[in-house]
Amino acid sequence: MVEGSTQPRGRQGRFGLRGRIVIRFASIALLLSLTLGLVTYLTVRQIVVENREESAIDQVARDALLLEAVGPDSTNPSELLASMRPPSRSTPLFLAEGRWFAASLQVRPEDLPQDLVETVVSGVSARQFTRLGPSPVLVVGTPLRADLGAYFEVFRLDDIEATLSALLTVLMIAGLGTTIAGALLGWVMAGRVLQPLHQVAGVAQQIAAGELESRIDETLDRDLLTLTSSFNRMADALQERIAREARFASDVAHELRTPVTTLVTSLSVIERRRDELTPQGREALDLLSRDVRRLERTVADLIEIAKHDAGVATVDLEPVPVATLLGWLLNRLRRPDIPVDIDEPATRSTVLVDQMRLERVLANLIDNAESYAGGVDRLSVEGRRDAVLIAVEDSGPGIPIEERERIFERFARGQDAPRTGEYEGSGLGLSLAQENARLQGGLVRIEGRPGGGARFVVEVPVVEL
Amino acid sequence: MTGPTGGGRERILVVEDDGRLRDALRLALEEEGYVVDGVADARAGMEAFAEKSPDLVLIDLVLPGGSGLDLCKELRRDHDTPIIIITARDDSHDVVAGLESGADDYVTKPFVFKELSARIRALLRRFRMADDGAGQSRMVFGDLEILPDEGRVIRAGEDVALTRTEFLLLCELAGSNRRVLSRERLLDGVWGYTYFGDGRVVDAHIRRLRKKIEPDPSQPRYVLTVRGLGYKFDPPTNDSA
Repeated sequence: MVEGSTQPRGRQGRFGLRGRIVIRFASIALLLSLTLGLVTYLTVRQIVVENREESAIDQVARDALLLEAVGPDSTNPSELLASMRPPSRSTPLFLAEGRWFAASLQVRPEDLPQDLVETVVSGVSARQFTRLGPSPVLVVGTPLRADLGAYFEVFRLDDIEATLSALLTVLMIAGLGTTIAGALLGWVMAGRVLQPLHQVAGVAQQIAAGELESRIDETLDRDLLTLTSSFNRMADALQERIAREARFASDVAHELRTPVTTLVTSLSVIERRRDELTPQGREALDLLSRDVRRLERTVADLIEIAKHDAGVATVDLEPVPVATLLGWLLNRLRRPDIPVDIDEPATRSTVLVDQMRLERVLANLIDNAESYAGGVDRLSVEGRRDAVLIAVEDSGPGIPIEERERIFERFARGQDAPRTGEYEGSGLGLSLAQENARLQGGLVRIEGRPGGGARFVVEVPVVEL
Repeated sequence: MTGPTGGGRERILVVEDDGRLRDALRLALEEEGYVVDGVADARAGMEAFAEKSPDLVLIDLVLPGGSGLDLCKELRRDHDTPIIIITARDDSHDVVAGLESGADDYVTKPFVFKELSARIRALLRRFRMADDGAGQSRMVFGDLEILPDEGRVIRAGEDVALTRTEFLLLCELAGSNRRVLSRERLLDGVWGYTYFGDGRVVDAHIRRLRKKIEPDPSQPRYVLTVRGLGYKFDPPTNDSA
């Protein structure tokens, strides 16, 4: 099993799909051009050589006849040979009574193949390809009439060889060109084939990045229908499963909604009669009240967060001057005691926000500061070119850099956060703050303060008026 | 409907399908001094309303079959008894639909009883005050006439049927001398609280008010929206008394 699953990966590792297709195309092109080239070369060679052979045999026959006609009276065979029309590329030789006569010094009798000479002397015409120094030659010999001896002609074939080697060069270049063209074609084709796969990969990445609605266009390619449709089915199943899990949390919260309200409401009756209880009863009631309150907040926050998850949270953005906004916020939060430092650019800015949601963001951050950092030091408001930063500053222990992301996760608590019984938060406050800030195009981030403590910075977009 | 009934104690009708929550609400409201009638569904709600004439109705919109909304509309057709709806927190459609169908205010479940109790107190106080008469003189804006003493609004010679909340909202706006009133200011002036308030209550009532007094509610001429700030009563200025 293990080997089976690792082996294909090993093969993939050396060359990608595209590389493999390129190599395949190039090899096919190379093989084809080699075969074609070889066939072409051999055919041409055969034709050219046969032509030359035939004409050489004809010429030797004619020359032999001529020699026979003139021969017997000749005193000097060498002269005779010289007087014969010298064919452009052939050298005649004449063997008479054991003596060689040659018209040229270019070819010496001992250069001729011994077998051939013997065959001819024995009375049979013969021809043979051989080499004379570097040049290829064709030697044609024929016995002469009566005892005149034997006649040979040596034909130089270097022109043919030059032609053939030129042909070979051309064929090799063509073969190389074809191979490169094949590789290129393979590259392009592979690109074409991989194009839809790139789209599949892109969609897969989108899904991994949380865009669960992303699907592949099933009309992408008929031949990829199996891939695309099963991919889309997988994505559907995944989305359904995620939705089911989210729905489960939301369903639980919804189911708890009514009983929690009953608890809170009934408890309020007992709280009104707190004085009628014994000290132990009062203490138990206080414990109960605190945790019921916390339960109520958790359920409320879970329902709220389910709304964000389902993407049905509505946002009502309005342009509000920062100065107006701050007054409104502090009034809503019932915290006029928190000092506010606002810089000059901020006072002149107008931001685009959902006031109710922004209030919830700040309420959550202030709650957080009070639960973990002993309270809020101040609100600092800074105007930037395209955003206004509202920072809730405390002088608590601060948040280590490595926890500044994690702390926004649901039910996450800082490592150093005290788990005091006083804590009445739901554990969802910071996640909700972040969701609410994002919904209005802003964000919450954490910074350290120079003198210790943390700054929870809410960034909201500025609107140009 | 005029004033508290039965020994000066105000009567509240609770329409809630969950028996335990209904009992808890009854206990808690009785503890606050109200007389409480609890019923489980819309039909029983209508019957109890006719029989007991409550001073305030608390309706859970999450009643089976969405009948809470129908009950709200049906009650509103002939009565202006204050209605508070209980809605699901995660459904702003519910909130808006409930307010549009005539509820004066809402709480979302889960709620803290203190919050509900504050809303009930504010709403009842407002209705008592309205019964006493606002003591303002007649106001005329173009063809719109407001008679605070009689609790009447006349547009183009005809009476406009406003709920008490709508009427108070109109008086608050009309008395503002064309100044912009923030939602908080209106919540404070009409509903009697700002802390628990939510701009949506104001927005929904403004929409209802416009439907009744504006010649073309999509192009309001009397009650104008001032983006980011609130609302302004700015009637056409041909004649005003």
